[in-house]
Amino acid sequence: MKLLAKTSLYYLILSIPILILSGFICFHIITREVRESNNELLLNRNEVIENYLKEKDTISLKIITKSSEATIKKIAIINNFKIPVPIFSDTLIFDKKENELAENRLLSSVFKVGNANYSIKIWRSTLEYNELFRGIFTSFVVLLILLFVTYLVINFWISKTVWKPFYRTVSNLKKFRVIDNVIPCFENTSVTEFDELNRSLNVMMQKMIVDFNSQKKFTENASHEIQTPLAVIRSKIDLLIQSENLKENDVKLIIAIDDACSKIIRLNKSFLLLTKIENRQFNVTENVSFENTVDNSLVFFEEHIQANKIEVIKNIESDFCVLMNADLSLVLINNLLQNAIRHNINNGNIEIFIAKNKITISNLGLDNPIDSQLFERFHKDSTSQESLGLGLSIVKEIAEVSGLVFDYKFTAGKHDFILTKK
Amino acid sequence: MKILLIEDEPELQKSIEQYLEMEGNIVEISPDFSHAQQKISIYDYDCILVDITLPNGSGLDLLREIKLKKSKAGVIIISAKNSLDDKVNGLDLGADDYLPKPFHLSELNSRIKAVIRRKSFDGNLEISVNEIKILPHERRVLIHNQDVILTSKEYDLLLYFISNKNRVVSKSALAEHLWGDNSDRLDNFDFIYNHVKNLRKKLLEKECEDYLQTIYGIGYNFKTQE
Repeated sequence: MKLLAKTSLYYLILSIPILILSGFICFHIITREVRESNNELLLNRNEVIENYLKEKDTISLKIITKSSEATIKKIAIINNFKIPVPIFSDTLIFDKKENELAENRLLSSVFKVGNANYSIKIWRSTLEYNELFRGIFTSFVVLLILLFVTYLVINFWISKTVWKPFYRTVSNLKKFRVIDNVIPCFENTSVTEFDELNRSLNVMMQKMIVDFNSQKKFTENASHEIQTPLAVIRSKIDLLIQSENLKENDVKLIIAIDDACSKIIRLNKSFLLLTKIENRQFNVTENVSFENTVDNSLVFFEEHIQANKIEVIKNIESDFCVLMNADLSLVLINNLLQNAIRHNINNGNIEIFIAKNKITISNLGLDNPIDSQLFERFHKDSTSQESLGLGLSIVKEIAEVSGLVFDYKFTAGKHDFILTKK
Repeated sequence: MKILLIEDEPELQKSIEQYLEMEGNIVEISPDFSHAQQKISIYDYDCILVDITLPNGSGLDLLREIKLKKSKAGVIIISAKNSLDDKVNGLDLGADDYLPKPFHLSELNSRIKAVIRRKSFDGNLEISVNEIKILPHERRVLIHNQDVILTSKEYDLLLYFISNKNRVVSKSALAEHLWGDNSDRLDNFDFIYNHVKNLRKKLLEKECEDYLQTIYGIGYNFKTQE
């Protein structure tokens, strides 16, 4: 969910109960105020009526009762009658004008003048609470909508302007590759937080590049430094086998040493190759025809293909031509073919499909797809002792520097290794 | 043959010297740049082996001097750096071959011979070993002056054996010579066995003496002398 949508949602969720609560408070305050002012008014009028009763001003009393907002009745005197305190109550009285029952506030009291007791009832129509409630509700809903719309507009504007540097930073991060050795340029912003973010990212990237380079340098140096001692070992083995009187046991030892030595040599060469590819040291490019490359490679592996009774099915739609380094293209195809031969089944086959924008090398093999980790260094299939576990990672690396996309697909025992143009 | 080895690693100097002297070559050693400079300016050699990274100098500069002197020596760069630039620069500067370390001594030897062959008679030199005659520029083999039809790999093997005759050549050296270091070794060893078997058969059919000795577990020796 986008930040804007998320904050808006929270805003909406939080503002609804607050608005409901304040609506209720508002409703109560209004009704209380209205009731109090009505009560006061009724009390005042009651006093006026009491005065008229005291002064026996029957004319005024008549006028009051005629306006039908008050009734005055004489009630019989009962012994020990205690005059009750005036009582307020809400009542419904039929309104002739509106032709409906209307809410009224009623004050009933008893007043003693001489020996006579008068029961006085006066009323006054009040607010209709339903309508009040509806009014408040409507205005608060409108308020909510208005606030929300304003909020959205403000936020939209903020994200357009205030968050702009942030989005720029994100797009810079997406583009950043430690291998490129280039730190993206972060523009200065007027927002402290973003500035701080950019600064820390800058520091982090610088450190990443330095670390990456020193690690790369280390591998490179180590690989180079190892070459000379390896050359010494190999030359000594070559001299040792010239000896006339080697015992069978000595021979076994020499073979074991030679095997291990050869393995280190191949491993080291693969490392150097990977480093060189990563360093973009193969920068001489030409238009490479993959049809030719595949043919060359097939000749190279002729014996391996025959020995493993593998059938090669070539299907060429049109040549796949790429502007890339020729040596690397051969290494690429050699590695793929070697992989296809090594992991094939008995009497299996290799299908090579070449089209204008695509080359696929498929082989029959194990019944389950290979782990994508095989494309990383040193992940290898346990069945193959000879494999160094670097072949596919070299393929991946070469594809990357040559503007190709390397893909793998598995369908029912068939492993497809696909190269397409980016 | 007189060979100058410009290399700073003492143990590698010893190995190369020992291997090359087995065939009666004279090997002189220069452990550093200035020493090599002197040697090159004073003496003539049939072949010069140059390491690129040397104490106080670069092998590439030595190449320039060799070129200036118009020396007839074949030059092979032996480098631990195995970098494309060095290879390209080296060959541009007039080196005849480039052999990255680590290498088999038998490979070095066969390269030296190939370079010298190319240099001295424009490659038109025949190689003769008793009844065997090889015409390298035609990739042709004659035994008792009769043509032997060999496959490309069999021819390469024979030439390699003869370049390193009377010495034990290991299977791993042969595998690397034929396929580089880029394929399965176990398979390669089987293929070598088959190729050698076929080669021997073809040679024997033409009444060639059986020179090829199998050295158990290790490799082969093309033995022309007792």
